[in-house]
Amino acid sequence: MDAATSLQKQDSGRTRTPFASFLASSEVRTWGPPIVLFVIGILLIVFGTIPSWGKVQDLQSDIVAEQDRIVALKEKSRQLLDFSDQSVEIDKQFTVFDQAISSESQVPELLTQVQKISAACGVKVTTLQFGGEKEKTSGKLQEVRLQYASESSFSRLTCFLSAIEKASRLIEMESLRYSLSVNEDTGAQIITAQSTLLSYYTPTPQLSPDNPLTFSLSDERFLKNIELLKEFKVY
Amino acid sequence: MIERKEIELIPKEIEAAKSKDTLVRRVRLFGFLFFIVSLLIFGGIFAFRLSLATKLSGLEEDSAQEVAGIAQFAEIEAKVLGLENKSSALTKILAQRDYFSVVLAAVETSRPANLKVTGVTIQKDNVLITINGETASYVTLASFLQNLVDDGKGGKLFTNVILSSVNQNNAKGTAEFVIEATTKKDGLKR
Repeated sequence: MDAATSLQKQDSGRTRTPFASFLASSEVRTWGPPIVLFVIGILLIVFGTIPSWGKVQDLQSDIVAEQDRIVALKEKSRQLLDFSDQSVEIDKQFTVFDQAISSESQVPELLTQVQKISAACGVKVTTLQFGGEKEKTSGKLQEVRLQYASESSFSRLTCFLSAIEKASRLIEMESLRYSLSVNEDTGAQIITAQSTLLSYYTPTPQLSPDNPLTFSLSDERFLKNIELLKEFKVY
Repeated sequence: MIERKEIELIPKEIEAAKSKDTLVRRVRLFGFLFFIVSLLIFGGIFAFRLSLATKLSGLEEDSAQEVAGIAQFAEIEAKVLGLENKSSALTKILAQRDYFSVVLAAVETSRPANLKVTGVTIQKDNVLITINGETASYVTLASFLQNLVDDGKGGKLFTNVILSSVNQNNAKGTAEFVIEATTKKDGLKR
């Protein structure tokens, strides 16, 4: 028995697993550390650096968006501060515009207005009923329908139409059909009119801090509308 | 002349061992450097990401403060938006509105004295208007048709009129007629 064999026999007290033997091999000890470091480096890049870079880009765009949002919010805040300084004028104009296009359907008030206009022109109302509501444009404008029928003379009907067109709460006609009949007893001519009347309201807007304010009290169209509303008659 | 030859004294095995040793050292150095560089890049990007996240949360706090500031003006904002909606709705409604009184005025202006208009049918956004009536004279009816397209009378509104039917009512001694009048495009708008 030579010396090497006797050493192996001495070592055989603790038996090595195949994996331990593999790790102990000179190839693994020579090439293992650089390969392991290289693999760790690759893993760091694939699972650490690349996802982090993606996140960094997301964060950068979020920061830009947030900075833009702050600028917009500051601008809106400044505008609101300006508007709050003009709150008396805004309240006044709101009341005027709310009379033309209310914030709620206010059907009883609408029916009363139609009755008052009819009475003012001497038109006898035979039918006046609420015909439902309909959304006109993307939740900003709602339409209220009324079915209307009346009896009057031609001149009174003309008066009613003109008055409706100038009424403080906007009312328009979707259809009008009238016919002339003669009362056999009195011989008087009666115009029987049937019409579908439309009125509108704008529901209270949903507030969102991110919605910019584009309104201005000095807007040309707004000023023109103020002038138009002055011509309308309150009933 | 004696030919000179280089004699290699170092054994080939030792040469091979040396070059293998050099290769091993280079590979180890490359592996180590690659690991260090990737660790530095990862660390740098991670730190940058952290700083960006901190900056973003700071900005979010700022915008939350602005939002809270805006919320204080909720009442005035609601009025301003309401005013804006009402003003634009008013412009739109008035621009699209058909003024039916214009039709009655045009018909009345065109009507001869001894002709009776017994009915009118008007529909919003419809250029066709139906006029019913009765008269004792065809000459009067012809005059009415002419007046409806006369620029000084109904012609301000109507571009074309068609007599679609005439019925003789012998009991009353009148002719009952139906006219289909076409208005100008947007003729009922102001």
